[in-house]
Amino acid sequence: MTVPETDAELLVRSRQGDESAFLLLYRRLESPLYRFALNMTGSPASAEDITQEAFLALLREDCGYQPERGTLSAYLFGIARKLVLRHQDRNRPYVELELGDTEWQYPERAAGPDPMREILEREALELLRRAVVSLPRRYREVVVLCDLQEIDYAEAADLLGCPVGTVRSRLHRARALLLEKLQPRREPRPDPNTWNTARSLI
Amino acid sequence: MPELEPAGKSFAHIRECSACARLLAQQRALRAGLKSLAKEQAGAEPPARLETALLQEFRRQTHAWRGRPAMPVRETKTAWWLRWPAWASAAAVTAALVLLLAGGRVGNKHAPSGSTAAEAETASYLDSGFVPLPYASVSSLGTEPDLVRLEMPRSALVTLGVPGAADVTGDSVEAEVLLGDGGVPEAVRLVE
Repeated sequence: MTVPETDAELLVRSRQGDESAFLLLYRRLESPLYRFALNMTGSPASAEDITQEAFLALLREDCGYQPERGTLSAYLFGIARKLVLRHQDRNRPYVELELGDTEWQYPERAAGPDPMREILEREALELLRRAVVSLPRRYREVVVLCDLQEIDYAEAADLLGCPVGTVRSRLHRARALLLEKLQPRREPRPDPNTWNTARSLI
Repeated sequence: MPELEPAGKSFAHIRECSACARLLAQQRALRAGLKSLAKEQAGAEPPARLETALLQEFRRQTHAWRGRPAMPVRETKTAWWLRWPAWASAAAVTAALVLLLAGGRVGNKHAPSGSTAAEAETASYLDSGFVPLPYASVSSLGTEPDLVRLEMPRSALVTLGVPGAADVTGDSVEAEVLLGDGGVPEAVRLVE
């Protein structure tokens, strides 16, 4: 049985001019990287630029990837994170949520097709997407990786270069922030102590 | 978000406390929303033009690299005394090369002259599966490169990107090394 080549082995072959190795490497890593950039910036054009820049970094003569320091995937995500930061510096990071007077709700599941439910769901998802994009970067990263890309905590910790415990605590705080952001403006912001009390009960 | 589900006697509290019940409902809604968002964006792929653009850039770069040694993946810079296993392996390989050279040269000798002949010779070696070693200058192979056969650590060949090395079982493999001017190893290939 042939063992699939690791990303690092494919990179070595790519840098020796093997186009098929580069193509295989790109196809292996493009989707998670693109989705990460898309969720972090909320912009398909920026996500495309970031993905392209990250892969171009592998082709540069001064490519700084060191296999001893971590996976190639983590290296690419590291580049993407820096590019996201640069993107934020250029663009206004704050996304205003216009919730009106109604509380954000995600519609209950219906037994059959329900056009009204679909409309409500689309609206709710759009608000949620904007709430995610408006989170501070370190909280947005964990929501994007763990909740939206469904990557486990250990892998997210590897990609972000932090301990698993940090991923867990940031995720907890990020979800609380999301709920806070999705509250209608007229209501007073929930007291973080209330959240903690309720959280400890469940 | 399994950790957000109430456990054991907390159910009773949730039934009695409207604030906690509301908070739990919000968390469940958030969980459902995030799951739907994840499902919705699971099919998001970069446009095909990105692959095309990257391949074009790859070909441009490869064209620029041609005639130069293969670009290695950078190694971590560690103090030499911390790298003694690698240092010892390199010394062992060098010693093996010297011994083999002392024992006589292996065939594959041709006698064309001129730089065009040397380039053609180099190209023929590269076509026959030899992988240039990092920082080696294949142009220094000349028209009469020496070929030696020796045992090398499999991991070293994998790191060098020698085709087929990853598929071989065992820690050491037989490899052929091309020596350039001055007996410097220039290219390597797996003996099949």
